[in-house]
Amino acid sequence: MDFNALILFMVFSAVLSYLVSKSNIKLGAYSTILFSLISLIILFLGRNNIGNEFSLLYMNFRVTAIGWYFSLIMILIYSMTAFFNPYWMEKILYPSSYNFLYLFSLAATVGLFFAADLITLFIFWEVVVWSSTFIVPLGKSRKAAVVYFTISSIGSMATLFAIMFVYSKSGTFDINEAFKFLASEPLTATFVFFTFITAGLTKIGIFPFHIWLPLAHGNAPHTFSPVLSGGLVKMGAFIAYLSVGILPAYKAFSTSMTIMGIPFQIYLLMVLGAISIVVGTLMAIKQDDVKKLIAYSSVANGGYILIGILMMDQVTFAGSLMHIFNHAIASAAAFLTIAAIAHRTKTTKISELGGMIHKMPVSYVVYLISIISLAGIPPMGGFVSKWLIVQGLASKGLIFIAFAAFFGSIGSFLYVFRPLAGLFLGQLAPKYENIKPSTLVMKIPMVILASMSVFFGIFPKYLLETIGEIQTSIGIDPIMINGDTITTINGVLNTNKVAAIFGFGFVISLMIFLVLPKSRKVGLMDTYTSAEFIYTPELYHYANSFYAPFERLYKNHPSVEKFLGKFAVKTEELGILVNSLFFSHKPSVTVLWVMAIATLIFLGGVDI
Amino acid sequence: MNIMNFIYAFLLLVFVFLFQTSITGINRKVMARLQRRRGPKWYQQFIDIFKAMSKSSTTHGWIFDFGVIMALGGIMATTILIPIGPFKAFADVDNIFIVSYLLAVGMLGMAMSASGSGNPWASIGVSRALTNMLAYDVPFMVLIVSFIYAFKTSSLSGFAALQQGAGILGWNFFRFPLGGIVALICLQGMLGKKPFDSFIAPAEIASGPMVEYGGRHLGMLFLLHEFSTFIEVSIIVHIFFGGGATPLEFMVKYALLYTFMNIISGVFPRFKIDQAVKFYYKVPLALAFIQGLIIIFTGLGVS
Amino acid sequence: MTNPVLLIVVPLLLAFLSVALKNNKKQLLFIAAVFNVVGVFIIENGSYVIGGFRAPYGINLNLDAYSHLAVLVINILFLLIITMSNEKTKEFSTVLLVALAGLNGMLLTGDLFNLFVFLEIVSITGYILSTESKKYKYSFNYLILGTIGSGLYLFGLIILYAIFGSLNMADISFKMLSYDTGKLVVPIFLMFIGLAVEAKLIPFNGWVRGVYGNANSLIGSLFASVYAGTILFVFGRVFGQVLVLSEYLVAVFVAIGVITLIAGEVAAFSKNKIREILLFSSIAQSGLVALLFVTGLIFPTVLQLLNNIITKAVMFTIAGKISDDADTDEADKLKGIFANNKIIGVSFTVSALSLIGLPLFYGFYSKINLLLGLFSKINYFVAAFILLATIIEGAYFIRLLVKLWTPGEEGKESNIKFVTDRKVEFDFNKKVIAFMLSLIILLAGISPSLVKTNLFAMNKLLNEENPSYMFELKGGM
Repeated sequence: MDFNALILFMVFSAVLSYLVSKSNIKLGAYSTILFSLISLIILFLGRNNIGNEFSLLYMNFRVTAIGWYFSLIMILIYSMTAFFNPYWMEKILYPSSYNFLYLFSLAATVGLFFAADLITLFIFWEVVVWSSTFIVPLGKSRKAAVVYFTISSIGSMATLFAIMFVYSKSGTFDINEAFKFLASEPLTATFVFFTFITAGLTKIGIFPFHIWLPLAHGNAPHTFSPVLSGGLVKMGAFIAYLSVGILPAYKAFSTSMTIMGIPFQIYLLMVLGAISIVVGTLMAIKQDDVKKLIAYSSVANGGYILIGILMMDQVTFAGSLMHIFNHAIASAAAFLTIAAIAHRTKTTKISELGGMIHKMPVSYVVYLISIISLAGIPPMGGFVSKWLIVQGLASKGLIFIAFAAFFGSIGSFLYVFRPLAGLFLGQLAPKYENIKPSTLVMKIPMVILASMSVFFGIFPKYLLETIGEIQTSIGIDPIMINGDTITTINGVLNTNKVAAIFGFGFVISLMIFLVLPKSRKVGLMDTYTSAEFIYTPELYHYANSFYAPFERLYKNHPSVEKFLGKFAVKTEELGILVNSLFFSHKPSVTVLWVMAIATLIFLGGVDI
Repeated sequence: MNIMNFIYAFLLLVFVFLFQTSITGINRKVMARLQRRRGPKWYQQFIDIFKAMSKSSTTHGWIFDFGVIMALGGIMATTILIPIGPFKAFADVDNIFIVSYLLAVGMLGMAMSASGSGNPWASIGVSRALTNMLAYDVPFMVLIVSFIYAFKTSSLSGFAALQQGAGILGWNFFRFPLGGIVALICLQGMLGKKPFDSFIAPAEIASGPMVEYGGRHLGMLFLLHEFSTFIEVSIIVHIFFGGGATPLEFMVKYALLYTFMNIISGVFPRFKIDQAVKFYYKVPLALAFIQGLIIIFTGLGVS
Repeated sequence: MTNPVLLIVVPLLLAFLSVALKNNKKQLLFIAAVFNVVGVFIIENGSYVIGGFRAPYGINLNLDAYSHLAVLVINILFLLIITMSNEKTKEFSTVLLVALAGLNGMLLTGDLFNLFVFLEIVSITGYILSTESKKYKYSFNYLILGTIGSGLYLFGLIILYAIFGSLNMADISFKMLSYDTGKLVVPIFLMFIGLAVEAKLIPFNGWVRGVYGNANSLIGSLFASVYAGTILFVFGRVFGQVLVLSEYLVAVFVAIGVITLIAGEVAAFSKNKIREILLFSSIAQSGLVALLFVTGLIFPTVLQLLNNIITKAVMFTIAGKISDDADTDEADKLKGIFANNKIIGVSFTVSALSLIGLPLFYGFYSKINLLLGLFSKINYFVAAFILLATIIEGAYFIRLLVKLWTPGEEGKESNIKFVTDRKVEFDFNKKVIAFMLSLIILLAGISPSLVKTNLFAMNKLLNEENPSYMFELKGGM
């Protein structure tokens, strides 16, 4: 099936889903599953479309390998998350519009990845932004939508400026052609590079644009947070790729000053990526709301992705592309488990939960696998991608960036463990004694995503071969993968072997466990209490400020939120000033202005 | 990868268990002498482990058991990756990042199990342990990155091979003294020895991560502790002390280094957890950066 | 050839008639509006002499591409607005008829003094209409400023007349080409102030807040859409095509435009009342349109102007109706008001998004065109300011929309139980027309080639290469 038909199908499926929802809400929600799965299949089977060009209305499309890869991730996340939609239909204020916007934003993302010209790119970019903006306030915060939209439009306006600027110089909007002239103009290229990539930075949530992620991801409807975090954030990575891959950044900056071998323009952004990792990690560590915690972890992971993409080389870039996939599925799965829990318990606060493992074991296992993958622990997919990124950084000797990378990955142990301990483990509050496990339909996507994390951790070649083709298609050396052995100049990784060894170790350990004397099962309250008598499980649960000694170290940190809050207040004050200067209800003020200006003209204007 | 590899791996595990547990026993003795006690017998550690394993125990649910199994499994898997001198159970898996991340599986498993007990004291202990990890691992990894950049390898045996043949002064510890100091400080943190042992704090804090364990769980965690000690010390021996051209050479270096770290531990008081973090992010991290910059920009000591 | 003077004469005639036929005032207004809309499609381009003297000595009407488009849009919008607020027109039918005549006169006239006369007529109708709110202080304010403005315009015009001996637009324009424009700063600036008062440019717009902020659905949308549209079309005529501006003046006018744009957006950002947000947005848009006209961009500016007045017609009608029925237009007190008025809500949303310039809506097309125009003229800073303004605009419109659509407390999921208990009932006319307009906005956004071909088919000269109509008709000379 041709992809122009795919895009049309996706747009019409959005409308159709709206109409179906109008007659039957549940059916409409199921239709989102159906339509997104059909789109997924069409896209997956339509790989031979790569290289095709087509147009719809005034928009032009070109199917590229990397666009196909991004679209696949996006539709995968959307279709998996769609399984949760039916359970939220009664809770959402505008269910039909939700279903419409859900599928419509999906269609727009696919259009974005296949854009052949910059205007098409921008159109779909903005469409995704506004269509998702209207879903966010259906959740817990109205402010979140405004912040999300504002930050996004800061990025998109900067990018629009770059697009127009490039057009005025090169006379074309074609993505492949428009940037070519920059190769010989380093100064202009620097300007275009920074303005064009801004939209990407805002979307990935790179410092200082990261503040919308915890707000929007944390407060969006539970069924949309996975899409925001797993899916839409990746659009930013695509823009970042265009900024270094299509915009000939390295060629243009070849005469620039370099820092540790990297042109300073690119290094600067890598530093921003590194700051995002550190800030995201530190903030994630102190969150009580799991959704905000995972949102901040998306900030940190966005830092890795940006750094990898900016390197534009054999290893790190491949790692970054793989990390895009791994992070998408892992963070979506993590958000889905939280949604499953919130579906039963109506809260996402760690301090209000505990012991969920005894009620929702499947959610627990899925969450565990996902966060292990997010933290980059073998044998999950996230390990392979982080390994590649770290190897790439080491091979260039970028120790400051590498510092952030390690801080982020070890810090991630801290923050992924916090919900694990506070939400899933520990004491089960009596009020949750009778809750039911998640439904079967909810389990489907969770299990699929978790098994993908494991599968691509053990057999990364299925992913890395595709990535290698992408690398070839954009003219950089493909990642070397032979069987399941990944080879970089500094080392090799055979994931099969690592998984086998892990399995071996686990089996031995299991055998040791089994041959030893059996143990007696006791309740959770039957524990050592320093001779106190405790009868309230809620009180005997450690979940508040989990890393208190560590959090104390940076409790007075400066924050972008506070700064922007002040900025908003200043803007409003400026508005009030403008009001009193120009828009007073007293005619005399305006007359004074008119007279003052008229006098000025008479005095000085004549000779000019 | 064939069946022989797994047999070797199993033998390696057995060997490491015997070796490390004996060394631990000896070190208990050394420590006692340092504190002017007589100390236990050198095989006391074996007795402790087997005794714990043979006792009955209680469990707090499947995650309590599963966590322990996962922890020991992960750590044993990591142990298999470690070369002993030239001997390796599997080829091409002793990559430092694989080792350090796979090590984390074990840590996570143990943390999960501890929290799964439902005892908040265990969770508090875990939170300390993880914070500690954030402190010591980062400076060490920064150092490792500059080494990888300099030597174009990231495998433990690769690092060791590059140092062999030039005598003691060929060891990275002497070629990169700043880095060597950082590595030893970090090793002390990894081992959880004083002054960085506040997450276990065996003498003062009655309840830490291990509070709920007894019987087979505790026995397995003892095992886990031996294996993880072996992994951590071995990493440093390989990267900074030239590994071993023969297994024996490696074992000697290993024993000396471990004893040395223990003796240091014996004479130090203890940092609070936030003090430890502050310390690691001031001194070792700065030193690691300085060493890294020296390596990257001047190449001093590399060739 | 059908004479466009009918567009002025017929409403005026009906206005006199309406004094006599008091009971049928409403119908007369409707007839006049429909007549004008039909008439617009019949009239043909050309110069029409009024009174027998040939231009430049006599008075003429200029119906060229530009003014044809202007009368088309203004008359259609006028009809739509009075239909939307049908229930409110009775009281002001006569005034509205006069206004219709005046507005058409302003757009059609080819004579700068005639323009002044029509401007005065329109202003007077404006003063009268503004009294509907019973806030006489604000009407008085408007009256004073309007009078000073037109006085200054006349003053400037007299100086020009003294220099060139002509009031005909084309004539003056030709004569200015060979004149040292640096010496014309004073008269042009005075005329600028005169028009700027009506066009709401900073700092001459003190009246706007009181008048727009209290207008009902009819008056508000008329002011923001028809009046503002007309005055901006005229502004574009006078300052974009007729008068030749020196570089110094262009710089000053652009600066005033930019300040108006940014200050308007910032002021709107600090507001909570729907109508105040809209009025400050109107001010900002006026600044934008004025500065674009001054830089010599005609086609994209007209696109942007259309975007502004069409969307404002919808939004002001809705905002006025809300405040009429709910006794307040504070967004915080109207949370979730659209939950019970979905069609109106969708229309309002589409209009707002189009005004921000988001893709798939017509506003995006005009925004892209104006940016292209500015970039082709290397006006990077102005473009940057426009994009900055867009960010602020997006922030407050989305904030408003989110409040009006999704009620809820922070930290709690949006729920129907948070919807305000104030009730607003929209009648059939408003729903249909607002929805129709938003459909047009949507359609024009999805397929802008429709707009473009239609605009070009009717007005093939409306593009960059022929910035001035003068070269086609030569002002009828």
